[in-house]
Parts: sequence; structure tokens; C-alpha cells
Amino acid sequence: MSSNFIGLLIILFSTLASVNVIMATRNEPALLAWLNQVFLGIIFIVIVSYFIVWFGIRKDVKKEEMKHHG
Amino acid sequence: MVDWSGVHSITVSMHEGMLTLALIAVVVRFLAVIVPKIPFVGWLFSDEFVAKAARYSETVAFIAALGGAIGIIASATTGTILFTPGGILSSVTVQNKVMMVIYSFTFWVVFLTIRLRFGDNKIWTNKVLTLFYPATALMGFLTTMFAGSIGGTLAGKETILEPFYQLFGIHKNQPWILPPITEFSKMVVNSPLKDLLNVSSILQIVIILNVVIIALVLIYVAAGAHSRSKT
Repeated sequence: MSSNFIGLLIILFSTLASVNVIMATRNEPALLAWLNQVFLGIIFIVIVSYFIVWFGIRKDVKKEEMKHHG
Repeated sequence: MVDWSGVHSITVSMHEGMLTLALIAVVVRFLAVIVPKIPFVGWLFSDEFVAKAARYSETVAFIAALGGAIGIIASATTGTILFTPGGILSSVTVQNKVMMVIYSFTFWVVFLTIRLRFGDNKIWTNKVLTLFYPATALMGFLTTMFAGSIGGTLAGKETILEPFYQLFGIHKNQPWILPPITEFSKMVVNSPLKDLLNVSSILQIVIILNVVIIALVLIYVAAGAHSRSKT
């Protein structure tokens, strides 16, 4: 996995955790549910897209590696 | 006095127009790959025509998607002024619309990221990317369409998607939230955390946490770049 992708995931999950910690002090479960749904949706789209692309290009990457190693 | 309803309508029309153009261009680009491989149908089009269609549609798709993604930000800004942050947080229908817009923006960012990362040739010579790249555009367009449909309802107009909503029993004025997420959110709100800490100290913790995490990410990325430069 690329470091940029891991960095993006850390930022997304830390923001999600921060939102939950902040909202824990307020009695608004409906609003928190909406925020959680939005963030988890974004995370889901990003992760699924990353792995589909990774699955698609893995053969090309292997070919390039084989070329580099002769 | 500025009529923000009118300004919002203009920005929404602009970004939806650009995203529709992006989808049409991607479909043309996709057909330029698929059609020559279909027997009998492929013979109807000359190689020169297909190559031209592919070249132009690819450029149009990229520019229109970029403009549309920027347009979504402009529409979100005018929409926030129109509905006010308090209005967004209090209306379930507006929350559903905002959620769809955010998902749409995410799909278009994924679309643009793939294009910028791999380029035209690599996308359309790879089987998985040939299917997935237009699929992200289609999903982005569909979520934009749902957001626009809810926007039309909020403006007091009818939507063409009404039969679809009725068929699947979807209610625009009820939260589109999955039950496990609702349950988890209730648990968080009812947790003993709020008794242990007050709001100001929690905000301090969150700020420190975010600074630490961003620093860790920067160190991680820098270390990765350093190791790559060594090899």
C-alpha cells in the first residue's frame, strides 16, 4: 500500500474518531449518525476504489518489476 | 439584496451540466474502445473516426469532470449560505441531499485521481480500469442526480425520480442511514465519556490528537520518500 493512501486513511479515521468524541458530549444521536454515515461512506468509496485499482494494475506492476530486474 | 436561491440554481445547473457532459464523453471514450472489437458493428466505423472520437472525448471528459468537481464546491458554498448551517443540521431532507453531494464529490475525485495517476493510455488498455473508470463517473452522476432530485423537492417542484422512490419505498424526508450506524451513534452519545470530560477539554484533546496524527502522517510520508530516493 502506498504511504499516501495510508496517510489519507489515518486522516479520515482520525476525523471520524474526533467527530464521535466531540458529539459524545452532546445529546444528538441523529446528527452523529448522519456524520458517521457520511464519513464511513467516504472511507468505503476510497478503500473499495483503491483495491479495485490495485487489483487491476497488479499484473502491469509485476511486468514492470520483471523488466527492471531483467 | 442577493437572491441566493437563484445563485444556487445557477451554480447547480452549471456543475450538473458539466458532469453530464463528462459522463457522455466517458461513454463515448468507452465505446471507442469497445465498438472496434464487436464484429460487424466495428466495420461501420473507420479507424480514423474512432481515434478522433477517442482523443476528443477523453479531453472533454477530463476538463468537464474537473469543472464539475470545482462546481460542486461552488454549489455547496451557495447551498450553505442559502440553507444556513443550522438549517442543514435540523432538516433531514437537506441532510440526505448533502450526503448525496458529498458521495458524488468523492466519486468524481476518485475519477480524476485515476485519470491523473494513470493517464489515458494506461486506463483504456487495462481491462479492470476500462470498466471501473467509467463506473466511477456513472456512480458520481447518479449520486449527483439524486442530490438534484432532492433539491427540486426542496424548491417545491416535482421530480422525475418520483416513480423510482415509490417503487423502492424510499422516503426523502426520512434519514437515509443504515441501522447499525444509528445504533453505534446512540451508544456513543449514551457512553460515560460525556460525564468524564467537559466540552472544552475534549476539544483540546481533539486538537492535540489531530496535530499528533498529522505529524505522524508527515513523518511516514517523508520516510517513504526518503527510502524511495535511496533505492
